[in-house]
Amino acid sequence: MLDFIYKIISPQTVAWLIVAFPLAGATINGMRSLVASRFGKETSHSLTSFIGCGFPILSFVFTLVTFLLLIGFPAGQEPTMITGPLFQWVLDKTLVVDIGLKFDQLSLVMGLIVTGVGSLIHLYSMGYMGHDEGYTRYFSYLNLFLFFMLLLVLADNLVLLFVGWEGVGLCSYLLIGFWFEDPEKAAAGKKAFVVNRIGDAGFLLGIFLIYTTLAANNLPISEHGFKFFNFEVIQHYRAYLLPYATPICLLLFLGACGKSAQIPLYVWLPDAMAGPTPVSALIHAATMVTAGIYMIARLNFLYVLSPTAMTVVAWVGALTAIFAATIAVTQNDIKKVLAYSTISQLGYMFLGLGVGAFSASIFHLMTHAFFKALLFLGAGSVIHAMSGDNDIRNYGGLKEKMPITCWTFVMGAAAIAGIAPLSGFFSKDEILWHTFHSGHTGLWLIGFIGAGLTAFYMFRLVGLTFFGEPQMSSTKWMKVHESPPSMSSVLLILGFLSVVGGWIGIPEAFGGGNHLHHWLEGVFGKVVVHEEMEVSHAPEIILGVVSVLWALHFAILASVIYAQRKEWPEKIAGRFHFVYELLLNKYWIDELYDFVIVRPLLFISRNILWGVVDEKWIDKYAVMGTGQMVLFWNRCVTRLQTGIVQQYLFFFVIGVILMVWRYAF
Amino acid sequence: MTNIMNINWLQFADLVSPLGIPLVAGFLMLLITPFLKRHRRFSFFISLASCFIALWLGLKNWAQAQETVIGFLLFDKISFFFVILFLLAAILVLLLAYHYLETMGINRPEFYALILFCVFGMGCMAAGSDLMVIFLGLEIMSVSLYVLAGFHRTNPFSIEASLKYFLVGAFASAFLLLGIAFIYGASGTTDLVLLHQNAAALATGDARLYLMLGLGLLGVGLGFKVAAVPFHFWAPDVYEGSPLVVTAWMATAVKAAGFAVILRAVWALFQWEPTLFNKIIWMAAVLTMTVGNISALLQRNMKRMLAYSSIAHAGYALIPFVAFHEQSNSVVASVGFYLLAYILMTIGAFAVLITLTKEKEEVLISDLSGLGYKKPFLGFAMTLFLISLAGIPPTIGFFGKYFLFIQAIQTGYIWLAIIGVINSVISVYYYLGPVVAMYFGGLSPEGTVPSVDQKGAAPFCSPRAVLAVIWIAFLSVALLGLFPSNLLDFIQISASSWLVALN
Repeated sequence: MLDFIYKIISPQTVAWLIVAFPLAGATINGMRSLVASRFGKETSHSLTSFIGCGFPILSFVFTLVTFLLLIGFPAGQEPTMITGPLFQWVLDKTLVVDIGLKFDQLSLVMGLIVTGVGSLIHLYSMGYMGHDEGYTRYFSYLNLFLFFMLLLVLADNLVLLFVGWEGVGLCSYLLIGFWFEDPEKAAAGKKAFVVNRIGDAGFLLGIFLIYTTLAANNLPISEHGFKFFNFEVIQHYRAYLLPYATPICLLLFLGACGKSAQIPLYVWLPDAMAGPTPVSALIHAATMVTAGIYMIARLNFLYVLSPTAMTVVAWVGALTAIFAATIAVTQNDIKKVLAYSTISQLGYMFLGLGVGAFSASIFHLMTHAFFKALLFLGAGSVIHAMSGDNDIRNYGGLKEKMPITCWTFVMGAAAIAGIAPLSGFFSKDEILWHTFHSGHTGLWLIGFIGAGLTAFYMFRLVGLTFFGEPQMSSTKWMKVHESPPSMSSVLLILGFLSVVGGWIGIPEAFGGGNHLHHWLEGVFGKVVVHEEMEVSHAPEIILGVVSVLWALHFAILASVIYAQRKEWPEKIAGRFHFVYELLLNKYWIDELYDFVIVRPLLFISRNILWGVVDEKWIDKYAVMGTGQMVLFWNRCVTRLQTGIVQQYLFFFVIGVILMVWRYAF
Repeated sequence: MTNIMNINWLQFADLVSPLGIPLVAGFLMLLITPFLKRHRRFSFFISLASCFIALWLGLKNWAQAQETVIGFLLFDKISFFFVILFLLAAILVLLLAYHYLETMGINRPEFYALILFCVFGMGCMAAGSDLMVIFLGLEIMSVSLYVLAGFHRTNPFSIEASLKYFLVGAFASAFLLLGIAFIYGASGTTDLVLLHQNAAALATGDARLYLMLGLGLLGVGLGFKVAAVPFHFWAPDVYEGSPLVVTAWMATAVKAAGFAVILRAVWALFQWEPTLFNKIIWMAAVLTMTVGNISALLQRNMKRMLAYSSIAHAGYALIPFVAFHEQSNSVVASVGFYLLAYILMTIGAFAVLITLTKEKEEVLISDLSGLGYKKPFLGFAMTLFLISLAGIPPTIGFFGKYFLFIQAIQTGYIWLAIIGVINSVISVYYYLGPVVAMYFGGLSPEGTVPSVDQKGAAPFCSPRAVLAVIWIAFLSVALLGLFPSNLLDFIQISASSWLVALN
């Protein structure tokens, strides 16, 4: 008996609990919500919070335990673990998918971020969503999201990853349209879903291409057992993928573009801000949108096979970074600014991936999760205090009323702006340094300018929101208050993480140990691109100092201008009217897509495909014709069914004669 | 011929127990119940208990089965598989029956006894190693069914169904027996194993003509049992007139028994002339599924619709036989899997209909309207069963059809598979009709959902036994649709042991 229990409680089985907990939370709360709505009753908020927050925290604890367990492995042993397959999904003997989890350095980092930040945001939501009618439904969706996200990052094969990938897309859709009574918000959810679908199509094609390429190569069955979707199998046989590496990587990258909001598929993310703010923090800033980065980092062994694909990734990332940063400068909706800033930061991560600095990208992903979650939650706190007003032109001087929100927000802004020694500095600088060092000077320049813009728009936000004179009516001013402790404590924790989170990855040049980098070496290989890195630290230090000064000067400039000299930007906007309009209207990309893609599509489908092809041909002849024909036969057949036994026997005998005749003669 | 003294009776009793226990229980029931007050409960429980015990023994025997032939019965894994299948269907039907018969006022112990006799007859059909035993089993089953069809004595439709079934059935039995006689005359034996082994030698010479004549007539008799076109005319009338539980029984277990015999017969007899056989099967399959589906299209009566649907499903199940010569193993497995799937989803659908009947025999599609709102689970379960019948993933019905069609495709009968798929598409029309009624029917003109709490006028009653059946069917249809591989392995083991051992 004890033996049996001991067998059950192995790390491999306990690891499944990490994904099982959020699913349990989602199921229980979902059921409660359904039952309550059916009988028209209210669900108990405290029980919902207990279930909804308890399971994610448990999941975080178990991830932490797994992490500690794996770093406890003796030296020289890789801290990785693969849970045995929970079950095998076999449709055909030539297509086997083991449903299993993979714990290695990369997925553990991701798992800790997802469960850690996720749990914090769950706690924050208790305060933020406290008055909402759909409280239980909200927590059920949020837990479901956590489940799918964990499935995505912990999967040990592409199929399971794709399940998670689609699952988080679904949850994102549900949560963007959480207040679905408002048609605009429901439409935003739909837009996110449709745009993501375009990327997913590419992703699926990429997966299929991997499968067909490997399956066509007559590899020894005893070794791979037809598990062509398993990461280890793909890695082992990656040499066979070499001829198709570029199309595969580009197709997968299309999927990443959709999920991680890169040009040209970024348009859904700003609209996604229609959802509740904690959702924006968790899904549309900290975790889900980084899935594309995670996926490419996970498949790094494929991407290094194709220099073309790497270049495309780097350029798309850099262009997105600067493109979104310029838009963010002119936006007036606090959440929109943060949304464009997210797009821009994701661009940096792709830039890092594209130049081969995989671990730097994951590092930036982690720090970004901290400070962007902080910024969004801070924004949520402000919006909460302003009773739902999103427009930063109506804020001002909130520093006095909400000190915790203000100073944590400033911390976050300084971190994202890249001011040393906060977390964002180390991670962003590592990406830029790798870009510069690997010889991509043009890309570096773009990234460098983008970093300045980042500092500018973030401190513009800070200046307009927290400093200067209040821009609201005095009655409203009286109502502004600091958020309840359940929200502000989360802000403090995230503020702390935003400050120190970068210290685990301080590069050797600045006297740090670069722990994260060494930790991830097991996944990305010891030296990624360049070997002479250790030769001299001087250029790295110089660049680092330059970028700090660069960011600092923009930060001060922006906060001074927008807190005290409000007339300056208006004058500038007046002088460069066209540029201002261009940026304010986000380069008219939405309108462009509408004009180039949506409208022609609608026109063709309405007037040609529907009006002529469908109505006149398919409906009239094919559909109705088939129906008429089938009905005709129906009449013929039922005419024979008279109910008279003699007739039945008559047909019977005819059948007998036919049968015997065929057989005997 | 085995000398009766040489039989190892102990072993025989052990092996035959899954069939024998229902038979004995049936006899006991008829003997004891006249002296009991609460005879209905008693017979219900006894019949159920005997089926469960038999099921357990059947599973046990399945695991240990060797290919032993004792007293004209062939005890191998596939026999026990079919016995398990029949017992499963019997248990589900019995669970449905008690409540239904109570409502109709015809709850009598004979019903349970007849079902048990039926199970025994079917077991003999599946396990018979001799054409005579198979014939006997078939008659035991048929005679019980004639009575069951007319069980609602006061209902003229029930009487009509019984009489029609009897007339046509007797007619068909005559042909079957004549066929067996011809085969015996030509080959000197009715033993299936011998017939299978001496196939080549028998297929030449003067005997050939008689043999072929026998095969044709045998085919007629078997075609009648599974209601293949053109021997299907009795089916809609009989299914419609019979009491609902009897219809459920006839549409599922009886059909499965027919296919069990067809599998044996095809293996032993029909492989002498594979091309000719394949042509006939091709015609029969196409005609059966097309006629079944097309006739079902405009049915308003759920029972009659399901009757035609069962004809169409027999047509689907005939498809893989064209591949029997090349890959008999997977053909047997696919037919077995399909029969199980079909039994589960059809009994599930009938169970939902039973919750809707109230003293009136017929259930129209319009009676289902609004079910999705008034009884969400029943509506959802019914939708799942219908979707599964139509063969839409991720239900068990999809995999069943997939395994059937893949046999035809693998042996080059692409067109047969295409016709099968077209037929599935046609069938979607009438399977979705009730779904539309359940979710879009019964709304008020403004399109609002009727209020849920109409306690006084609730027309639905779902006692626990019926609900249990619905749950069992629901879970198996959904879960086995997601994870079909274990079940398929189970059936494949059954099939291969038989074919490998005796080939």
